[in-house]
Amino acid sequence: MKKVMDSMAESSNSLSILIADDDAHQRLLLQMLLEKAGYNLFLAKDGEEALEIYEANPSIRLVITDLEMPKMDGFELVSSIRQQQLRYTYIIVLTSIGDKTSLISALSKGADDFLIKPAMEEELQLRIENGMRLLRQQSQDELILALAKLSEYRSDETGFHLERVQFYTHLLAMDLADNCPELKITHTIAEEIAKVSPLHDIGKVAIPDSILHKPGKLTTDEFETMKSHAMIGGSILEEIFLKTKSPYLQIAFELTAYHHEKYNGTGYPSQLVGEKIPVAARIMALADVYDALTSKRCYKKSFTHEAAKEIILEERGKHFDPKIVDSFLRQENEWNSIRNRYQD
Amino acid sequence: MTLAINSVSPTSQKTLFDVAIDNLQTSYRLQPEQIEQLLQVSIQSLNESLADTEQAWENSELDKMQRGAHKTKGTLLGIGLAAEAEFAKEIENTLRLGEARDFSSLLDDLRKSIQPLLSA
Repeated sequence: MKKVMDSMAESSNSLSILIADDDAHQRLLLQMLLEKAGYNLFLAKDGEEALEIYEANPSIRLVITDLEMPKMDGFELVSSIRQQQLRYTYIIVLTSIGDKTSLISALSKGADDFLIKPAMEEELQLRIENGMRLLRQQSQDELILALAKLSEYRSDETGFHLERVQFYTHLLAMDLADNCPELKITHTIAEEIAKVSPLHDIGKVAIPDSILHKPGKLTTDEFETMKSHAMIGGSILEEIFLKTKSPYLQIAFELTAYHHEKYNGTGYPSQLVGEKIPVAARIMALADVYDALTSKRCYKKSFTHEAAKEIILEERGKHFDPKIVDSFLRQENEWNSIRNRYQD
Repeated sequence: MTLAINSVSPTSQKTLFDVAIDNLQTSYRLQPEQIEQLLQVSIQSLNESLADTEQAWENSELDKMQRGAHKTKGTLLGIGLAAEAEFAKEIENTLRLGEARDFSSLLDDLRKSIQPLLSA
């Protein structure tokens, strides 16, 4: 690994870019052009090295990668980055003129843009600027998470709850996109479900402290007030959606308003049944319950993964959509890893 | 190795160098020392990828040979030697299509076309 800029430079405002190419000439050329433009650079000579550098340096926001490389090729690198990224990483693939098959394959694995080799200086700069525009939108996502955290500060769901549910909803939505076409979840919708999932309890900002922090059991009236958080949060988001018409805000509204609905119609606020419950809310329901079960609270110990799984299986077709439970089972090892990795 | 960019070279060598230098100067507006460094790396890369391609042919490793030809083509295009890159492209495309050809002759043509650069 050759880390071009030191850690001091890393903390500057410049964009950090990772270049992965087994061709020393291409690597050096990109290095010269991008250093001239003032970017912080990291260089790798194959996909495996690139992934190691990427994992060790969270400041990397843009990756330029060749497709044909030893050890790990560019296609696998793109997939791995998409699976691991904590913040969106803009990926540009280097391709040969006329190689449409490779290009389509790279784009379908999650690459954002492409550059035909040899990369021209002006085109390179323009494509990086496009990437930076998209990355600036990432700050909106950070804002969403910050707003959600504000509401979480008032409840006892602190620590990494929001990050974990974001991972869980991402795993579910991506798996359902691949395995349940009838649900009509595209990869873009899957990303958006995960992006807005931290907002699910934002309505709790309107719940009085006396109820939110009550140590004992809630009275019937208090419980009714507590339940109102779903529709309060949903209404706020619906209002913004109606003003902006941004599709992801519609997902945010549905997920927030209906994540306490149950598949058998015994949930709240609207007692929706089965597929009448928006799919984003059905996904959120399982992610939220799994996280609540496997997290420690002042009133309970954390359940093991196996114990939580047993409860979820028992609720298959009752609380939870069977298809979503099946999706959870398909990737339960990943869930357990996330739970272990992001402990409060 | 130091490349004498501004010195007099044999005709064929000078031609290849001139094309490469012109391309790097006009396309990338690089400093002379950067161009020299880039050419050194390119020549080393070409020597390696061409040797790998030839070795793969001898060992009948056609996938490896295709990758080697692809890499050679990329490096040649990177320094603006489009005509020479065509030889590598032909090898790569022929292998990709699974067609039978006299690869020894194609490899020979490729090596001859860039020999002045390789032996610099």
